[in-house]
Amino acid sequence: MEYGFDEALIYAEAEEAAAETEEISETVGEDTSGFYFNPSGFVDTLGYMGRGMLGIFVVMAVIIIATTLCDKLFPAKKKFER
Amino acid sequence: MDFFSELLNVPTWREIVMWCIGGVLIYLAIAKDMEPSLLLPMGFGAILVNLPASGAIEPLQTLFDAGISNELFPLILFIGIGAMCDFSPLLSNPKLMLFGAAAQFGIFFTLSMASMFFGLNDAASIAIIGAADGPTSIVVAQKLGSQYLGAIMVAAYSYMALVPIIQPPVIKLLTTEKERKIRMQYVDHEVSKTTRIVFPIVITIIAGIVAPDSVALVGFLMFGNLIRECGVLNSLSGTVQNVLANLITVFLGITIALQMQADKFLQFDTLLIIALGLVAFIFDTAGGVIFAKIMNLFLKEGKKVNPMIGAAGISAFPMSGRVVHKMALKEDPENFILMQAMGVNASGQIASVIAGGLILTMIH
Repeated sequence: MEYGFDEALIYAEAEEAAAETEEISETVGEDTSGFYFNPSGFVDTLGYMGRGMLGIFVVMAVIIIATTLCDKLFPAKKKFER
Repeated sequence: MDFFSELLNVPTWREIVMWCIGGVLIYLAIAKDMEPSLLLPMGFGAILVNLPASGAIEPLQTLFDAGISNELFPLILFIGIGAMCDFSPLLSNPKLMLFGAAAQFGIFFTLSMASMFFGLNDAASIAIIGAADGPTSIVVAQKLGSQYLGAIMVAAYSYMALVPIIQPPVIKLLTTEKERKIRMQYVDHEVSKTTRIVFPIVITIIAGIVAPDSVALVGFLMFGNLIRECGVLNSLSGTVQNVLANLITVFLGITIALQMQADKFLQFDTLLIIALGLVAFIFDTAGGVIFAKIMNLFLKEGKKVNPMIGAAGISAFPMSGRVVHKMALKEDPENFILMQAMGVNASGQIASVIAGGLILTMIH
């Protein structure tokens, strides 16, 4: 079947996009259509674990600093030990 | 015979199984007092949506479109939760927030575990069960387009109610008797009203800069807290804590049940999700306790922390804090670590929401 120039370009771009999606799916298992077992998924997502935990600690550290600053700027009237 | 087959809609075996599951949820809610405000509507809703040719599907779908698919219900519920939260034990000792951060480890560990069985978006939605926070789970699962919302919600709320059963064995496995008996000095540091008012505003700004996708969750939580702490909106604070929270809870529970139709719920994936939810809670507890033990390596005698408070960083507020406090009293009847445990528990509420935002930022 013969295509015009524009149609051929669209067809080629669609094929390229489909190939890219398939590649990503194979890497991290984007196919959610049913049960499957992909052991490499654990290792592939360790980066998220590292970034996530680092991110939480960084955010909480910033909040700790901000809270301590607030406490210094707006001190309460008394402090005692129980 | 044709007349009777037209008159009676015969349920399938799957629908009957879902009736039984609904019945179990109702039983757990009433007889065992396990998160009754959610499990009872979910249980009854499961029966409603699994009646043959159920006429409840359409109105529940309307409610779902109105409040779940756009994440409105969980966000409004967060206003009520924020108004219920008292962050003063945390503000007295802000360093306790580190334990709240550590206790979110289970979320990210479960993300990696779940990635072996599910696609990334579904794995992240399942992992957020470890946030031990219903609204966060709903918002993240909806934004990521997970098809397992029903199973995720059942797992999340069931495990939140089972914290007193899940956490103690994990804590005992990871700590020695000597460590569980560590006493912590409580310094009753008064926090000014200005600090209590500025705190929710500052948290929202910080979360918004670091994880923009978390602004809705953190913002609504802190908005509720601001209503509580400002001191000039007592009536409003009472309303959001009680009437608003209860209203939304009723709608939320029964609407989530729409995802518990037999064809969606009765899959092997559901069992897997329930198992992964347990993994999330176990590793949340382990993460907090191990972080506390590591911290003790660098602290002098007399300044060490009781590692059990790390377990209180799970966001099941206030249950987790009370569990840790009771365990400490059991080991040593004169060891009162309630304030420290509640401080860590409150920080877990913030940390879990931020974890949800980070998940969305990284994956969405």
